[in-house]
Amino acid sequence: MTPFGRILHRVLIVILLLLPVKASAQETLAVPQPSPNDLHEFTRLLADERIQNWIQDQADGAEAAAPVAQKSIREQFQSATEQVGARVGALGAAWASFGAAPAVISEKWQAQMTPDRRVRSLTFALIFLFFGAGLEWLIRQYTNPVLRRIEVQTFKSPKKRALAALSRSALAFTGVLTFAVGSIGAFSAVSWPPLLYTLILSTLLGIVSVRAIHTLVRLFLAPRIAELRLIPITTPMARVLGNTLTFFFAMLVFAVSLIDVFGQLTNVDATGALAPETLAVSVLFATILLIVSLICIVFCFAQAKHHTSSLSYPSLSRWRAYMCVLSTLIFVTWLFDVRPLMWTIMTIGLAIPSVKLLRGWTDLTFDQAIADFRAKAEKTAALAAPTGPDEAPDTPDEPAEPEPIVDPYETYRPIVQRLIRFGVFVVVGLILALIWHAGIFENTDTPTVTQRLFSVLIDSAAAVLIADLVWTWGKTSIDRRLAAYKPPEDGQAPGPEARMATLLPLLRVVLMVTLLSMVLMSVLSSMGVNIAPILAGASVMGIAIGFGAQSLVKDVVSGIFFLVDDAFRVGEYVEIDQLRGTVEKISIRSLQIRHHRGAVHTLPFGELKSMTNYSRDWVIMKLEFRVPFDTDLQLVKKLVKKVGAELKANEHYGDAILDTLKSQGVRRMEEFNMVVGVKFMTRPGEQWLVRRDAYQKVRDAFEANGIRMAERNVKVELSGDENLTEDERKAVTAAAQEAVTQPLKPGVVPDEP
Amino acid sequence: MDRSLASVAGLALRTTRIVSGLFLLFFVTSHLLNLSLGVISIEAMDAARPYLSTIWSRQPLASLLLLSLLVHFLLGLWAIYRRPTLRTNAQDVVQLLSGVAVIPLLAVHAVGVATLKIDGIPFGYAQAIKFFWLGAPQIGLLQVIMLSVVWVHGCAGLFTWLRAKEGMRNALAWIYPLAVAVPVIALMGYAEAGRGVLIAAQAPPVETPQYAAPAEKPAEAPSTPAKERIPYEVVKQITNQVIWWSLGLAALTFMARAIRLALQTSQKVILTRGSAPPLHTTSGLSLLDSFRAHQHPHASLCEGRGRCGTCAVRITLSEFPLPAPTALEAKTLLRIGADDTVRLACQLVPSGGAVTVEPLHPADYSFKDDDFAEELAAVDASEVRT
Repeated sequence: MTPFGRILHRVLIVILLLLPVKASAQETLAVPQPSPNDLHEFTRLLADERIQNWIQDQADGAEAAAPVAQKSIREQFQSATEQVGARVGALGAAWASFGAAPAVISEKWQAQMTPDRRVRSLTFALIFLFFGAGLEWLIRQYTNPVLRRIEVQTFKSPKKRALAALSRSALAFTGVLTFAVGSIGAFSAVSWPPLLYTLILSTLLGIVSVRAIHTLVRLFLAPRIAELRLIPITTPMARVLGNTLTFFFAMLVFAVSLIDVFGQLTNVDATGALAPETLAVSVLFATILLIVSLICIVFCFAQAKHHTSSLSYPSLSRWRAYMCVLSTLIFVTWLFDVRPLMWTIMTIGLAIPSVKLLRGWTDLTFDQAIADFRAKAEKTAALAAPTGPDEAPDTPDEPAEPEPIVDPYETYRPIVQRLIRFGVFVVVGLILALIWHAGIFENTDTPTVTQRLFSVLIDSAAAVLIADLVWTWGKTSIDRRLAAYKPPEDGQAPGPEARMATLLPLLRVVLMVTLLSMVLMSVLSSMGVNIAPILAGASVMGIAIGFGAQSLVKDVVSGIFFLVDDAFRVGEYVEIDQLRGTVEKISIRSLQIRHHRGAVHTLPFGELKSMTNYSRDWVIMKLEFRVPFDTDLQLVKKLVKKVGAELKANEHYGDAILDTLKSQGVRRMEEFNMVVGVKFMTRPGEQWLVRRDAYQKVRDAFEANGIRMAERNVKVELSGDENLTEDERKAVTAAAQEAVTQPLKPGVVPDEP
Repeated sequence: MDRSLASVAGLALRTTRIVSGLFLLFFVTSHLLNLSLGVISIEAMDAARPYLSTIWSRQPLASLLLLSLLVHFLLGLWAIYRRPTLRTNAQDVVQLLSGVAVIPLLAVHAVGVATLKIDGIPFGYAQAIKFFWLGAPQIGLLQVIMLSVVWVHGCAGLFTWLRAKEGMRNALAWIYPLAVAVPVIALMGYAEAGRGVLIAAQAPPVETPQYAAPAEKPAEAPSTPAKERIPYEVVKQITNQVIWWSLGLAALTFMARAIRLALQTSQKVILTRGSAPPLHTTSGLSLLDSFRAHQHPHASLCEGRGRCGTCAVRITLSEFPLPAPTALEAKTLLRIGADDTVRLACQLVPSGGAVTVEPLHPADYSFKDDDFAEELAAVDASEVRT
């Protein structure tokens, strides 16, 4: 047989061993139909009384066993107590046989392992290790340039940094994995006696797991390369912590595999219980481990006092005490063999510091990202600055006030923190469920109490956590927008963001109420409360309230749309159905406008059909002057232009004039005069002041240039007036006067402030 | 004059070490190839033995082999003595320790085989495998350890040498798998042959007891005939002497090194590299060792043997005059076409005071980078043309 053929053969055997399910499936296909003879045999067996009795017994037994599964709490507690009692008994036996343990174990060891065998197994183990190490070395030769490149780089963004740390660990893990596959694979290709199998496999597994833990430690702590460290600690502290952790885990793995091998060695009966000697040795190892872990904790915290400044002394002491108590608790629960409790304590105990750590890490990452962003923004601002003075050298104070740099990350900080906490909670919940055999992944018709409890807890926790996440996101973004809003100074029109100040708190309240009610509903529903009546009741109430408060709802909804449309803002002058005034207050339901004479109108939004806003962008005002027919229109035009220039130059409102006063020529001819039109355009609100001055200045200019304003006069022409006497002349004048002074209808008085 | 002579001697020693090491590695490879035939069968191993193993025990080659081993060992000890620091990278430490361990491990094997040869006892692979797996499994274990140590040492040396050669940058990727395959297949052959022997030794006593005797007899074979020709005690004594002498020499070297370092007066050196904060180090260390001691990554493909020239730095400031380059450094500097201000960080040991240097290559530099640079240049050129 060629070597390749032999290897192939071996690989095939391994594959066949690994896939027993497939093989059996193929076998079932090949099963032939039962022959008539078999069926006869079966009926005969069924008719046999002994067989019937046996089947009956089995059924009774099953009935009797069924209620046992549904143990009451008292029984469960009792069985737990009994278990602990048995463990205490075993511990007592172990204590008694403590002195004899080394002798017993070495005797068993000698009995099962001849020296030659021992040496040969060591030879084989070495060969496997060499296999693994060789393969790993080979992989490393190809990955080393990448690794080196990652290690010496400096990273700009935290994302790249985390990515680099991850890829570095991935490369290291690839190495460890190759090692594991090479060594354990070569090992499993050969068949072994059971003890040797355990011995060599636990040696290989121990080496692989210690190396994997070391790689993990390197991922988080990166003792040599501060650039790639994921946990915010100093380099000396990282080195101390990394070494201590690796040492402790190496001890742990060593102790666990040794106990495993001893258990295999002394386990004579098939019950799975440890022999007293092995128990004695494992208790000894566990005690040593406890002492080692306590020493490690005390040592690490003593070093932390020198190298860490981020934590204060009291909090360091608190954490030290916490870790010590945690280790002791784990030890005690292990000692009394209360495994679920031990795993629970371990999970929760480690989840608390890891949440803290992750929080610190997120904070650090965000701080760095924001600092980077600031630095970059300042750099671009500095780059833009040299071009600034060239453009506007005369107005140096305007660019001197830089815009506040708003980083895009701050909103996400609380969200990321919640998300991480959420992830930790989910993981802890799943682990706890697995520990307590809650069977949350099983779908049974008759769930146990634990299953029910866990499903309720998980459902509620998921609802609460998701709602919390959404609420945090909504609240932060709303608060951020609100914080950015600056209320307008007195006398100035507010900007477009003013309506946000109205809308956003409303939105926040709506979000909170919606989330609260949804969470409440889903928690109730997962607890088994039938929420259909509540929903129905709520909908009936909703309809009733909807009808009753129809106009209220209409007001609120149309208000929202008016606000979204940006139809008006606080401080604007508006006209709504004969009502005019300045918008003074916008509430959710209504709008208050103050008339310029002081009256306050309150208008529900539902009443608003259309509205006129006089305060947007610009206003055109037209004025008229009546002048006699013989007026020099060119002079009028010239004078108006001069007045326009004067108005524009005014220091108070000159800037507000968009298009200054100009003559539009004769607008129309009337009975006794011409109407000369002028117009100007200003920003909203300034037009009244400008009009006042325009009238005054135009009148003065006309007067100074001999242009009279037309007055209503009556020219009486008498044919042959030379014959009239003085009295007659007076009578005619009086009659004409009377005709002129007939009362005129008053013109439209514009209603304006 | 004396100094330049010493530096030329250093260059010669280095060349001798490489040549002897390569010769030894060639022998080990040939021997391992023979061993790897065990994957097929023990007969195949023995069939190939005259061409792959026995040829090395013929006269000119045998003496040359022994000479190379001695020279390589002594030169290695000399290098340890000359080293300014032992706390360098992991590969150097592995190479050093494995180098010290080779001769003690080899002694049993070499002396045993030589004795058998002098006695004229046929000792093929059939006997050897039975002896190593059945007769004396401790010695068998020792062989596995020896194989690993020798191969690791040889590969460490070979690849440090090859990596420093710019022309080898593409060939290396093809040599790495070979470097793993040779010992792995050899060990597989050894294990496979051993398993065959073990099964043969266990099975016959159950079925046919008369085969049990031959299974035990070869296990005794190497020691019993040896008693007739050369007494076993003498062999053992020679072996022990070789082990103790080599270990003693190594220990003496370390002691001499410690004394040398203790007697050496060292000055304070303030070393500034690029824009990094200055390092406080001593005059005993080379620049590269100082960088490593302070965890400053610095390019160095040959691990500080002065061959590759990637650790070159430009001296921008030196308070006191620096020692002149040795012949080795001068040769490398000439090869990389450096001017007067450029020195090799691995060879330059400043005498004291403040030194400011600027690295020529980034810390993750490898010869492949030149390929990338050429490719980039080609791309740029084609873009310019179009």
